[in-house]
Amino acid sequence: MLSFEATQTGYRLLGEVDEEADFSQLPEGALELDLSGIRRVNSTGIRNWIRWKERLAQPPVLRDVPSILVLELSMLPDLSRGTKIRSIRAPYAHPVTGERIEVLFEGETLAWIRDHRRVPPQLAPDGATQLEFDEDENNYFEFLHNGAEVAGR
Amino acid sequence: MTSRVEPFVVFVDEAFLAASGGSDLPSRGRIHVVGAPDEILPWMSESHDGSRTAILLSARFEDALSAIAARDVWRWRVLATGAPSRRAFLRVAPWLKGPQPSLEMELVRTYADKSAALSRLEVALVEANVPRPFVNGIVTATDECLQNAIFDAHPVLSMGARRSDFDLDPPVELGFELDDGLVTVAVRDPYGTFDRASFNAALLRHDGRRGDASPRGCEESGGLRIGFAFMLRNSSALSVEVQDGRSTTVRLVTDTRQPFRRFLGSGKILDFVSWGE
Repeated sequence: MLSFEATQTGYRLLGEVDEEADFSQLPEGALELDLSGIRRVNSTGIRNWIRWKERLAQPPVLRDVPSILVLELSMLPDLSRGTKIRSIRAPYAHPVTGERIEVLFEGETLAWIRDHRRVPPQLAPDGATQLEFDEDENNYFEFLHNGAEVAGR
Repeated sequence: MTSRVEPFVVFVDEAFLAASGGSDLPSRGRIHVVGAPDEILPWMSESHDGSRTAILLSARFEDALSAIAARDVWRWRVLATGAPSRRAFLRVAPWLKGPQPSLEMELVRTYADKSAALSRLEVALVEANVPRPFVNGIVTATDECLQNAIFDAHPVLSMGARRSDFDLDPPVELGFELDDGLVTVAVRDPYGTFDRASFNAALLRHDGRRGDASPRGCEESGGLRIGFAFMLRNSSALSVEVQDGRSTTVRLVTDTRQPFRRFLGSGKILDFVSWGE
């Protein structure tokens, strides 16, 4: 089930984007959507999202997009086109322990990735160990080249 | 139910061979179908049920599927990679021995059943210390398998929009098993989710990254082709088994005993078996 929690700048989505997701509950007009609470996504839910987005005069701004949704954005140009992205989560892994760390990438960093077509290096909390990007680097950020816009702060 | 000893094909996708830096498998460059079980081939590996599994050729994936369709071959396996630029490894795994020993299957009739089953799967994977990206991927792939069975194959639901108020009779079945880092998920349906033609078509449409999210694509397919892409992306082996032209079991096996990023670049095994036609 998908629920919507009002925030200072828009709404936070909580739960599953699936066949029961009803985006018509969201008001029309400029919206900022915090996606950090999304737990699961399936293709029917994405279809519902796209149908809702197609009807909007202004696309929402997405923040804190979880990796499961970043993948969808990168795989579906019609989903990413015209969408404004404020921040996403990018997964890195410790090369020894395998611990996965999700790093928040915002406007300037996203623009850098878009322009340089590579992921920025990240250090582990110890300040010395270089983390490894834990996804397909060639595909993960494809949304930046599929028409998604990087939204400023 | 009978099993026939009929022509079968095993082939290696050329891109896979290139990605793995070549291999000790000789390449023939043309399709060859084994017509009789006692044909002698210079390279053979025994499958666990005693039937011969021969690596016969390398070919472009599309060419091989077209040739198989033209010859009406009912059983084939391809060793393939989803990303030609990636390093890949070759595994020759035993052929499916007909219907697999049954996993403990639960019935999925409603949206609530589906949600509960996916939640149970997620909890089981987390409790077994399966790394989180694998958990997310396996649950996503399982959800897509269930949707295929529920929405694309059901005679009534396939005609309309996808919704959450379904109540299936007969139900779809879901089972899963964890075995030392190997996660097996099976989804069985009585609605004919896949046949040879539709499975081949799904594979040929899939280019490893893209789905069709145009509004027209959404309407025509009843969903997004990205579902099949996620099934492939999040598994090490995908098999489709069709019995009597109707009952379909889709089985996903994921090897979680490796870093996730290495898994993403690893080779895939794809099986299709049709029994009893």
